[in-house]
Amino acid sequence: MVASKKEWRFRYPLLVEQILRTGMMSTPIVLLFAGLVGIILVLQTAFQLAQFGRVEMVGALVGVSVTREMGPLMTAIIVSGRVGAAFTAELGTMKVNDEILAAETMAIDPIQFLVVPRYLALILVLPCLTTLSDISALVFALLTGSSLFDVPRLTFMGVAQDWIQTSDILVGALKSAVFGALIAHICCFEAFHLKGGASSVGAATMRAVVLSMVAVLAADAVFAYFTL
Amino acid sequence: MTSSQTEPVIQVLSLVKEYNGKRVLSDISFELYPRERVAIIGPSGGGKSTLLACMIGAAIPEEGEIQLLGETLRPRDRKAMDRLRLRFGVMFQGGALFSSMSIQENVALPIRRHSDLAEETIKILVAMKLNQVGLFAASDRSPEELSGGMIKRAALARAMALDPALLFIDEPSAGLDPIAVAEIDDLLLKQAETHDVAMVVVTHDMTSAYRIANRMIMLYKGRILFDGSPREIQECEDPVVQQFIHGRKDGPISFQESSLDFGKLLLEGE
Ligand SMILES: Nc1ncnc2c1ncn2[C@@H]1O[C@H](COP(=O)(O)OP(=O)(O)OP(=O)(O)O)[C@@H](O)[C@H]1O
Ligand SMILES: [Mg+2]
Repeated sequence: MVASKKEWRFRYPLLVEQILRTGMMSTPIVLLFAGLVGIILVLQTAFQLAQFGRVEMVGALVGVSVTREMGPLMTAIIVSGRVGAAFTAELGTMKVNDEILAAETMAIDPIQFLVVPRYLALILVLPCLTTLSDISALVFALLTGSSLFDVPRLTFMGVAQDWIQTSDILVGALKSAVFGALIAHICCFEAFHLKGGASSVGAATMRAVVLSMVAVLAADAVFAYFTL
Repeated sequence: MTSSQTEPVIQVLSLVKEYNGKRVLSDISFELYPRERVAIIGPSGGGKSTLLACMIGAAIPEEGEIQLLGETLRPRDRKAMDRLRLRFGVMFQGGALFSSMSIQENVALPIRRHSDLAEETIKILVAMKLNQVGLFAASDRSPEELSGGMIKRAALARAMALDPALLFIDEPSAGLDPIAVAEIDDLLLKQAETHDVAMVVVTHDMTSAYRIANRMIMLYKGRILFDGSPREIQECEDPVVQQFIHGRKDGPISFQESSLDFGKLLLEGE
């Protein structure tokens, strides 16, 4: 179905708004989180690697574990707690305040108006956030390795480059998009099917966050199985 | 009203609505004609909100039929419903304004969604609508920055955005001080006159009902107990009607039937 011009005029700003909001809401926390994970990975492994005289391999270790697994997973977990919770809380409050009913009575489909922009935004934004978190983890790992364990920066980068595979990054982005869809779906669903007053918004938000984290982990397990 | 010449804007025919097997509305029938402003009144739990929900397609009745503006209401048929929704407005009790948008964006939303008008034209239209409710100066404020009275006025402007022929209003005076109530009543009357819009107002507030309405329907225990003009209701001798319109504590309308259960509970020690 081709959306008419007036529908685009209506939808496009909603999508842009959601992209900006989800992006801005999560970028700082994702960068911080990934940076810390990068530091921790180096601290945890460099010492052992040094015992074998292979301390420069931290670049490979951090690079591979972050791009393949940690990046997509931890970003999705953070986003469910940050953006997913905000989706349920916001839409749930709208439901309680009759705003969703109001949209319907103005012949504005609440799914088109409220859910689709959030869905698309998360599917588009989550892979970008994952890439950012990969970069942040690597940069902080590099700095930790070079300052505490005397790994030359160029060596770190060279090793990381040798080991990180483009396919890992692409699979990570694909996984992130799927995680984004799952989080958006669960968190919007919980809000739309909420019954009762303001107090039920909190309960629905908590349930949505827990469910989306579980769904993300389960989906990740499925991915792990099929990309063995 | 010359009912034989003009088409009714609302026709409710033998409406029955139940919640969990409990009859909340039974055998409700009435017609509303252009230029009529009906106040749906009655004690708490009488079914006013339920009747309103049925009329705007938010609740699905078990039996009976509703026609709005000559079309049969089919709540499950989204397309037919949406076509009809463009022709009536709803003003919700709490305003139900979108809190992430400014007042003017709220009013612009239905226009932007349902017309091909240029942005500049929409802007002018919205400014006119907001000016009519005295909110032009507050155009850029968000709903959170408004007082209760201003929220109701903004909700009125949004409900009138597509120039509906019919307006449903839920508890316009709830939560407002008497002056704000007088203001909103006055605005409703003005809208009714200048835009020729028929109104259904659900209210508890008799002062406000007398001010706005030229017809009164009283719901009691899910039935229509009275239907007539404001003057007729004052002359009506039914004790229930008398008790309600004069707000007397003693009379046939009991406070809460559940108080009986409380007595039973004490006696049985359960
Ligand atoms: N969603 C629902 N589920 C179950 N019962 C309901 C529901 N909504 C209303 N009822 C019941 O229907 C009856 C009529 O309720 P309604 O809200 O229509 O009354 P009302 O006249 O609007 O009262 P008030 O003046 O207090 O708003 C009440 O007994 C209420 O408990
Ligand atoms: Mg009510």
